[in-house]
Amino acid sequence: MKQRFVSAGSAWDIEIAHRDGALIADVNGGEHAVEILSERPGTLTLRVDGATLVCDWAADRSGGWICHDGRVWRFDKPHPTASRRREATGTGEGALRSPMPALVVAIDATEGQDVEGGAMLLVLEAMKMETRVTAPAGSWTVKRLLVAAGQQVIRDQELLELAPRDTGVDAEGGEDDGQVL
Amino acid sequence: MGLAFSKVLVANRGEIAVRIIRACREMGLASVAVHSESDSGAMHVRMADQALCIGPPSASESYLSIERIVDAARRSGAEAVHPGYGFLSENAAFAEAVIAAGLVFVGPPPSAMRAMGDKAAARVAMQMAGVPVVPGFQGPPGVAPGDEELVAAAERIGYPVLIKATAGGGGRGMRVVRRAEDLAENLAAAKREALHAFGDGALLIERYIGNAHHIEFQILGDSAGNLVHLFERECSVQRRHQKIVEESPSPLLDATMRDLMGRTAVRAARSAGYSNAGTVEFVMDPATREFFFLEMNTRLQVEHPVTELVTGLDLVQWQFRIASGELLPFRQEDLVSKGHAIECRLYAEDPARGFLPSGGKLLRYSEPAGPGIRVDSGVSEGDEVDMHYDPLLAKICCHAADRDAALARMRQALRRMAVIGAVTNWQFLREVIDSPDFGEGRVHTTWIEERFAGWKPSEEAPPKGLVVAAAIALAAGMDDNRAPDDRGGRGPADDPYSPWRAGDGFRSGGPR
Repeated sequence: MKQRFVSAGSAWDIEIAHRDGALIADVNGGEHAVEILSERPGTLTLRVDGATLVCDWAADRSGGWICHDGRVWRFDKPHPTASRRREATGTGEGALRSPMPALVVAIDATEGQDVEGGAMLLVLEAMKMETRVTAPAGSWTVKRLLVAAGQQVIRDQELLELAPRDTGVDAEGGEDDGQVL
Repeated sequence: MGLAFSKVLVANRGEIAVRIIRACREMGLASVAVHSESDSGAMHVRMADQALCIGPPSASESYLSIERIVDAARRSGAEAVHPGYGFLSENAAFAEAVIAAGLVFVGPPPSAMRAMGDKAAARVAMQMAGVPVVPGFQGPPGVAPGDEELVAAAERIGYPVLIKATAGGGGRGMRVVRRAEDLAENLAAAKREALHAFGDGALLIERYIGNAHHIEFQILGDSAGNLVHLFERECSVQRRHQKIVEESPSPLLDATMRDLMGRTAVRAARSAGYSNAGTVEFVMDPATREFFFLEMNTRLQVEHPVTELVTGLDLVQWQFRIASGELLPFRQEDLVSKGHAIECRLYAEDPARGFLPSGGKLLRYSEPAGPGIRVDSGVSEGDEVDMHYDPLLAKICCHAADRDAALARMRQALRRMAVIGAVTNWQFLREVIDSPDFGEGRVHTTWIEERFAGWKPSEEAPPKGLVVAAAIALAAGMDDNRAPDDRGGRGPADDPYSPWRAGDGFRSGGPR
């Protein structure tokens, strides 16, 4: 079965086949001898080109994670619909999102206010530590406040919308599919 | 010798509750866990002999509620209460409530907690006891200084200055201010943080010592006034005043300094009428070799395993023995520190997002093991990392004959961990341990901010062998016909190889 993965920004086409009683993996056109030494739930031990690899893994609907030698790699199986939607919403500029579940302690920004990069917009609190949310580099107008002081927000919840100033372009992205961008 | 009590309520959660329950088991004590509604399946609940729900997830209504915990102790028939660290552990009113209920409080006398708990009063007391303190200003005892007084004090002391919460600890309400024009804003923010964290907005101000080392001494004392120190822990690897890596002995101290600081620490503890386990923290200027009293933590410390590894003493068991009235059978000259121990704290924090707390379900979780490796943890595979509480998941500790050997052991231990499902500081820990500065012991309390400013986990492509592993492991776990799950969570329910199935089976099958 041919599979395609995207990991750390690179794409990999891989096919694993039996040949003369052995396993051969074709990775991006290069062949590798593979031996499965042990397979338990969540742990796989392989020999690839003579080197032993112990991998812990977990899967979800769009791919999974491989953990090896103190690191975790995410492998995504590209999904045509998903990638189109990601592109449509661009980099998410315009809406600032909460980096964590938190309490909105104070809001310094007001709607219609012009701000420069680094300007304090609001203050979040999580785990009893305060975090300031500041404007990204550039010149902006605060278009819309989406939260109020005292409100609890979840990770990636939109906090406020910024529009780049003097360009006349509405910075708000297209449809929001709730993806972490 | 039998103890004065046979059943202990552990007023905490996470790895420290598990650690204390383990000590109870070893001493033949029955253990009672308390938990919030969101912790009903947590490891400390699974391990204890008995467990009582004490309230909703919010800590202020559960783990921080004196009333509910004392009530749980009464209902369970516990005869002693161990507070762990954090939560109510340094709250003298809690200790008094426990004692008033006729129970044994496993910790220092409430009077000693009060003496050390008010940072401003502690500074004055230490000065009177001849213990050096950082030049600073705290106002008269019991009176919170006003902003004008703090501003004037900052001018006198000279910038940079350090703002601290009088009632504080753990970096909350703590701020370094380098310029006079930034002071007002930081005072306001520190006051807000202090109010949220401790219910008390009082602040003090100190000289800020650059390139400082944080060196602390473990204290142990019995009810007859026998006090010893169990040597030092170097805790200079900190991120925003949160310790990340600790070790003993300190690479900075020689025998003479160790002895001088150790005796000073004992003097500090004695002046407060201290007994049981505690820690005297010093800040040390490596240029002048001056050291100053920072604070005394009147409880068991997170990093206590480091001391246990080099001294061979079980601090939690000693806490129980001392609380039971047992006297220390050793004197200072009987104590020796053997080898070198290092601890790395594994936090559920996202390094790519400014180390903010991250939650998630531990789809895979396995810990390193082997000679000289100790892991204290409060989670296991399948557990949900709860955002309501401290993000500390586990402490990985290594002990070896010398520092280089302990470091080599730690490097391997970190490589042999496996954590999938929650974002952790794991890779960051590896880079800290691997850095030449750390290898040479030249690390001070702002080193992380300076050396790792803007740090992101590396995004290098996986080795080809791992792509092969992905193809074999993940082929079974995926389903092309489904829309991708935007949270990256649950695998297909009908897939027998999905780790989600194993995880759910584990939870529903386990004790509640």
